[in-house]
Amino acid sequence: MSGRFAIDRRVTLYAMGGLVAAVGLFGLMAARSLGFAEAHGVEVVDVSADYMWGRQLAFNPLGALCVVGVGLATLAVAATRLRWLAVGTAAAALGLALVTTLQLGRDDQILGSRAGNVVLLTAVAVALLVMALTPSGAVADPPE
Amino acid sequence: MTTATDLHPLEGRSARLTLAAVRVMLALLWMQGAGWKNPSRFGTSGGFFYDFTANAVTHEVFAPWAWIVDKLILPNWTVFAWSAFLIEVLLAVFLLLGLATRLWALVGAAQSLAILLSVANTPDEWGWSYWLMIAGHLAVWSTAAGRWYGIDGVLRPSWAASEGAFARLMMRMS
Repeated sequence: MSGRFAIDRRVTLYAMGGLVAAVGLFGLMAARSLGFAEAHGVEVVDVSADYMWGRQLAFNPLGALCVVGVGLATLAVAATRLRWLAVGTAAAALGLALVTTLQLGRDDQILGSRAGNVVLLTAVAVALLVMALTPSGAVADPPE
Repeated sequence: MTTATDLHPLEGRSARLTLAAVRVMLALLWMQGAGWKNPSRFGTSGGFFYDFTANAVTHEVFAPWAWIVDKLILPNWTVFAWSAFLIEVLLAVFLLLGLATRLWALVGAAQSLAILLSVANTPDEWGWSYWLMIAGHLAVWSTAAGRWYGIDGVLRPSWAASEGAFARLMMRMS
């Protein structure tokens, strides 16, 4: 297995990285009036009844910056196709998801997040790992 | 030349977009399902999630399931609560990505059945919700909905070209 993964996976990673970075930036703007590591973050979609999935994504500035960082790192993975960068970014995203999970519902959590943030970060990590570690197979890369 | 009217409905763009949308909606449903569970309270009995699960006993739907909840699940609440939470997070993750979609659609149908058997007789619950959830997951399973606008569709050519056990497994699960 070479140090770079197949070029046909780039579009997916660009889309995913761009989406995650955009969600993080939106969260950063929404949370600009909160303390940097305030326990209860701002919900992305603040609706009165708890039926919208958007209520499950919440950010304080630190949590939003972490998500922006994961999104930008995913874009860098798409641009470089470096396996080690993909695995490193996935490990960071999984670490953030784990911290968030262990602190959910507590008054001392540092990322101001909810279960939706766990899903978002875990999804990025799983996608990066499966993209980076699946051999290229029949699809040949064009010459660099 | 093949025209749009010659295509099987499942080969058309609208069908594929619809199936992808159904898959993502189910993922968001599980994301919200995980969201109202509070892991910081999993170590103690009581709370909304515990009471919700105990409905299987207090408003029995199916006697064997009520027995399982009463004798196995509620006495081991911490383990069960974490398991249910993690399964719902993973359902959201894999259905959102469209990865191993057929496997996770079956897991989602099984989880929906467990909820149906727990709360279908509970006052103010709409039992049809859970039948519809089961139907949605079976639709995603039967159409392999991750193959369009999902990671299954991106990686299946690579899995198909590989002789490895992991690739063969992923071919079956996608």
